[in-house]
Amino acid sequence: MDTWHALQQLATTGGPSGYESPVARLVTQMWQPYVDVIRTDALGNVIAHKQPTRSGGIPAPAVMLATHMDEIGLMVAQVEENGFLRVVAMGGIDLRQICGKEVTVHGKTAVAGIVQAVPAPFRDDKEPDHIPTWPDLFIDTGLSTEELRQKVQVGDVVTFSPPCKRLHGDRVAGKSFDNRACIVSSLVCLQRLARVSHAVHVHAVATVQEEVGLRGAITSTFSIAPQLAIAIDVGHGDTPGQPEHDTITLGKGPAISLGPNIHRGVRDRLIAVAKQEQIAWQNEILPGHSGTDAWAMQVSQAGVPTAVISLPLRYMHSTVECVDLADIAAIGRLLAHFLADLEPEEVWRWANVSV
Amino acid sequence: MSLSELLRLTGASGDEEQVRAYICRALQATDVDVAVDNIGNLIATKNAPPGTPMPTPRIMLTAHMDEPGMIITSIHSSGMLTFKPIGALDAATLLGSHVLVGDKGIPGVIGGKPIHRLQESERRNIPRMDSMMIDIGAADEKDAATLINIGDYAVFAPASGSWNLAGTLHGKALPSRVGCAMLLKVLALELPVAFTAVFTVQKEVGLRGAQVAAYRINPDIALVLDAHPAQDFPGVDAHHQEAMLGAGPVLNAGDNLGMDVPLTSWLARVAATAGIPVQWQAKPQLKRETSVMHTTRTGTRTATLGLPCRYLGSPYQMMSQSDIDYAQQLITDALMRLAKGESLPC
Amino acid sequence: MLNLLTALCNAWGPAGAEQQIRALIAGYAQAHSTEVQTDTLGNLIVRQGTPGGKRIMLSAHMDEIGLMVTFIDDDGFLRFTTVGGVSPAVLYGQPVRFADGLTGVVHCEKLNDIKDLKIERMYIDIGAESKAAAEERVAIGDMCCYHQSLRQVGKRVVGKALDDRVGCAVLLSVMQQISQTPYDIYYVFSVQEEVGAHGAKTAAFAIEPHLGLAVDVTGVGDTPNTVPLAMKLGAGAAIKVMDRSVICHPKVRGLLDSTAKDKNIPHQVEVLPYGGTDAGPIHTSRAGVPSGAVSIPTRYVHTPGEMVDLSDVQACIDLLTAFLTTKCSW
Repeated sequence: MDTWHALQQLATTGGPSGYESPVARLVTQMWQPYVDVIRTDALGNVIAHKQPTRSGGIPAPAVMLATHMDEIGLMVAQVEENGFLRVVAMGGIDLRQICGKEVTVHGKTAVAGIVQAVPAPFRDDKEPDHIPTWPDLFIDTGLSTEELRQKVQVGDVVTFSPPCKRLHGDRVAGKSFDNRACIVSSLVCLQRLARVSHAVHVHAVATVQEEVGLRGAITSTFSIAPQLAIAIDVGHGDTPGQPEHDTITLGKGPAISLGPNIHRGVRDRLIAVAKQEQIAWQNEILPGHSGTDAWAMQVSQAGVPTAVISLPLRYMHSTVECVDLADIAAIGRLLAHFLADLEPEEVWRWANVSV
Repeated sequence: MSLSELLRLTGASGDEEQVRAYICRALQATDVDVAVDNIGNLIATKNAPPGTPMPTPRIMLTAHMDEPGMIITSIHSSGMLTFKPIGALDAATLLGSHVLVGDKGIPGVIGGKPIHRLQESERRNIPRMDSMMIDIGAADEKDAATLINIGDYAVFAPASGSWNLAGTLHGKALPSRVGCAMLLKVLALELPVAFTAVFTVQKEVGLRGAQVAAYRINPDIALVLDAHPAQDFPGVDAHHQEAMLGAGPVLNAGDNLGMDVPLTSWLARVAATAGIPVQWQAKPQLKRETSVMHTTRTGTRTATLGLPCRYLGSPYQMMSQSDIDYAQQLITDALMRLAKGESLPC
Repeated sequence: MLNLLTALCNAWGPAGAEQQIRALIAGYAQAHSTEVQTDTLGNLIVRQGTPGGKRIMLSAHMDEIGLMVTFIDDDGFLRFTTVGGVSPAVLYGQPVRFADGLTGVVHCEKLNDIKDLKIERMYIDIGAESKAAAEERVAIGDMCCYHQSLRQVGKRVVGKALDDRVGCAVLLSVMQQISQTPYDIYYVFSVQEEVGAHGAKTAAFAIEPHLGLAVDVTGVGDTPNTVPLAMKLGAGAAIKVMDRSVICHPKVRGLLDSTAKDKNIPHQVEVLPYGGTDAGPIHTSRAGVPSGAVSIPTRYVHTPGEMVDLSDVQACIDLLTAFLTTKCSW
């Protein structure tokens, strides 16, 4: 399956935090052919395990690749008269952008709707310049009171339903590329790993509930107890009005991040592999909280060496997120070469207590 | 080992290597077992001398090695460096400061638009950190690139010269390095009790080192050495002054993220017996290593010995030597009590 | 129920100083279980049921919000900080009580504008005529709570600390109801929920439950001109879908929902856009725990006049009792 086809399928499937199971099923289908065991854990994380295919002479360490599969969304807080729903945000929604957007309410059957807000003069603060938020947001479904009550109840989740489109060249636009695009990178990595040998256990994980607090990463890292963990997530792409040094550039390959959340040895190794395989890469500075699963993975149990690889993405958390398909594939290649070349001794050295 | 040497080292969160190496060297010729874990904590285990009679609770002491700093995000065409803050830097003190950049400690300054060119509104507001740059005196981008890599860390330059008040310490990184020096002193003592001293990393960016170290060591009791904000300066109402320099270590009943009032009260009684003055405070919401350690695994008894410190996050912080000496004595006395098998109140 | 609820709510126990309320609850619990323990942080953990069965952790927090003394001034007035979410507007003019029964009243410096009402400008007056007199009764770090007794008003009750003593009362009642269960049940009366659900975190780590349930209060939208929340008093046990700390496992939520339907127990759905419960730290414990929450709809949360409907309390007891005595697979 090519990257574009896989991304389209993943991105157009609705799976807000805590309700990722439709995406989980899709990820399982996509990854299964390339791994030994694939399971879903207590919170819904998809954990794929691939045994080492060559011996490194010593026990094989476990390497975890984490890509989150949840997306930001809304939840029905109240079903009102005349087809209206009051909603609350799930995850970091950009409230400036949601009015007028098409959504799908995942009730007994899927119900289409439009997000709108109570006009400023009728809001508590009456400020036309302020962005409406809960409780002033609602969805108009156009259904009758009775019909809506039959189909939708409090607690149903809502996802955005924009088109997923190909722009010029390898650029594409749609929702939830954060972080389904990186799930495609993991797929590319697993496909390549199936054709080469590697000396480490590979655990590819599609995590749940990243957008509401890295919750899936907390539990999946605990259960895998890896010796090395890499988060693959999106990073802010170059956008007018944003300083160049604070963004990463679309089409210029994976960003190999650095900062307190990143183990320097692992980063150096990733850079060495990129250079050796002539994969273009770029820097991304993360001064504290990386905003990725790696932040939780690093402090799991007695600590895990972690790295972050970022896919350049524009307009994060909008319905028109933009990425470059070549970058998605390049991350997959980088990871596959990294894992294939990795010697157990090196991973144990990073992970162990040493003098 | 000397505190003044520790204070000169650079060690922003995630870049503690200089401090770690220094402490490793200081412990080399001793009977202390030293290990470094995967995030970079230095774990020093002091065994009890042979023949120590009774088992004691598992004790962990911590002091953090890192200080707030900056990380270089790009080299501007002019040769100046853009940066982002690491940890809680006081933005108001950045302009006009001296800094050291990278492993080699390249000196630089943070300058800004001269006052003559400021708009009225600019004069009134603290400039935004993302508008500041570090000037290392490079001619251009290429020149700067021979000395600096993107991702290099920077910290305030150590204070120079002497201070006019005997018994007062001043400079950058005091909260971190004073604690480290105190832990080294405790490790040098011959006490009839085993304990683990952890020199932690990444405290300033979210108490990261302490969290994983506590998980590994799984202590019954953890005591933290850290600064406590002192605001005993003009213009602050008495009830907002928090703590005073020179009035003894701070015991904080309000450490409500690591709240263990009985243990903290026990420390106060230990101090009272020895005639050590303490300042009893109730300041919640401090970012303390106790806040992550007390909920590790099935729970840990935790308390902080606070060292009153003025001007946290700035290049010229201030502490009193007498507070440090008293805290040193208090921690020793507390360990002696635990060695004798004194049970802790619940 | 009213007697139990009155005793629990009137007891004293801000976050971090739960000794008094713990002793009270332990007294009740000992009648129903021989395994009653206190852990390192002070959680009271009561075990009941079938050892070897699936472990279910129920958690209701026993701490309440409060104030902590930070400074005693020369005239004997006490400055304070808050322990948990306390609103200055609610606090203004309220009586408060310390651990030893000492009472005081909260007041404020002279304000030119009520908008300036901030905790920093408020103080507690314990009637001390001097600093020395005040210091005989209180020390910096001492805590106090709202001083208010529980009262019945119609089918409802009003008082302080219903958050979450009503949850504690539900747990104790469920414990009393259950004679046979296929599960290994751990009732946790947790500490320090109001300052970040600390107690539930360590208890969950120790218990390693297969399923977690928080029993706590939730907000409602049934008062004049208020937020549009679907929950209301008297409409039954609220089965949580989401709050800021947890997105409840759809299966757990479904099991509670079907149990309520099967047994005809009044219930409602809860979506709370703010707040958190013990289910937060429970569901991310170790390798993850499918978790949910049964909530008691409560008006005026974090005030001395919290209000719940006794029929909702009964519905929560019935729902949990039915859930815990029915073997189901998950």
